[in-house]
Amino acid sequence: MTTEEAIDRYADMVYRLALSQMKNTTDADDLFQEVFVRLVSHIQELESWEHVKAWLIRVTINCAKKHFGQYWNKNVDYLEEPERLADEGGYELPEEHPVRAAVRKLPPKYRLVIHLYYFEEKTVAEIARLTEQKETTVKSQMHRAREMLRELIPEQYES
Amino acid sequence: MGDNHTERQTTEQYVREQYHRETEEIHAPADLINRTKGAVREEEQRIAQNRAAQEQTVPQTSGQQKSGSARAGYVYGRMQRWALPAAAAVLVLLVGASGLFFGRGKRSEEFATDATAQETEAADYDSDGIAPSAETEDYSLDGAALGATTEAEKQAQFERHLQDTGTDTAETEDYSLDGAALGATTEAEKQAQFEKHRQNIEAAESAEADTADSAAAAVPVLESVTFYDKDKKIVEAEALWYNAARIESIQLRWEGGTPATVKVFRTPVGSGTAERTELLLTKSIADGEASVLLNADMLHDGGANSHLFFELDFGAQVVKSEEYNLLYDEN
Repeated sequence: MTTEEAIDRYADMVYRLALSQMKNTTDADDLFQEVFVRLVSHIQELESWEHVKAWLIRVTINCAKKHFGQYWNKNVDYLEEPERLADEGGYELPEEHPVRAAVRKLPPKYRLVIHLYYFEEKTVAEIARLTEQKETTVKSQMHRAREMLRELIPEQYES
Repeated sequence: MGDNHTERQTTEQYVREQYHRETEEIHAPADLINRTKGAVREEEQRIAQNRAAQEQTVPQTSGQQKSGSARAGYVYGRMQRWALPAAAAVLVLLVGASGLFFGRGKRSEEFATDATAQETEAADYDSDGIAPSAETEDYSLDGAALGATTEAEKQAQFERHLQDTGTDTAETEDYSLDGAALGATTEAEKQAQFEKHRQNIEAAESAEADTADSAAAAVPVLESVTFYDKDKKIVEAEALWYNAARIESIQLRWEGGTPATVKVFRTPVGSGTAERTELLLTKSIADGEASVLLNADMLHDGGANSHLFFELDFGAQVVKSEEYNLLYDEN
């Protein structure tokens, strides 16, 4: 296993997760690079591609949190309101992506659990481990995120 | 009711699949992948260079051990400085005593000659390099003669020295001069060695002091624990109690290293509740971080009044915070 092989294998996975967390593609690009550069000094410790994948998800989440922590220190909201996030836009989503557009309007912690649950198909227990939270907290976040999505895209739920 | 639940599940499944489809269309840009591979290669080179530099450091470490030996040598040398003159003085006394017992025969002269050699060597270590007394000068004479001539010549010189006291003084002076020159040369070398050792000692002591200073500076300390509300304003304690319902995030700052993990514990208020201490969160910390911002969702379960505390695992040392009193009041 080499880092370049890991890039070939997991580039899309990391990029999608980074994009789900960051407000714009520039930040997502930076996060993507940071994660793989960090992998260089850890790749030898990881025993299988599954370990590499889990490591990449965890580090992407932590680096994204760190990024928001820096934002936070600059008095920019970390636990921002959906409206504010929508105002800050960052990049355009195609009209045929209504669900992703709605998910992007969620606060980061909700976006994260939705992405891991909907796309990476992780269980609540796995999400709890990856995000270092209690399962009850993850369940609560999932519930709130779904409620918010229901309000943001009622037509999707009615269709 | 059951139909409602099934319908919810169906729509949930639909939204989930829709999100999956939409997200699958996203791919990492090729130029980003190429840039990242370039950055990865640079990082690999940097790590390889660091490793090479570390390997080069190993012989330097041996060098340091060598200077440690030099230091030990210095200690040994310092011991010689006082031990050899003392030994020589003891020998002189013994020779003097043997003279009393056996008279001034040839055998005692030989003893005296040996003692002279020792005394000359002792004089070499003397700081001023000058023989302190006439008796020592005589011994120096013998020692110099011993070093410069054969045994027969030495005997002849000695006989002449005893018989011809008129020329004794001049010869003695000459030999004394030679001895002094010899002593001075040796002394200069010894002084140079001594200076070198002293510098090594000072350097080693300075390095030890630096290490001690840096060790003192690296003592891990939890600098602050701050609670923030949803507006990012500091939540202050009211009569020493913090309202957990208001706390949205907790910031911990530390110094003197980076903890591997930060743990959050909560103990219910009351006596005998220590065994009911609950681990709420374990947070891994990336190298080099000086603070962490924790989400305070874990405090929002409306629990009873409690004490909150934190443990920072710095590896060799676990730093525990003070306990913070928590109550939960949504109003």
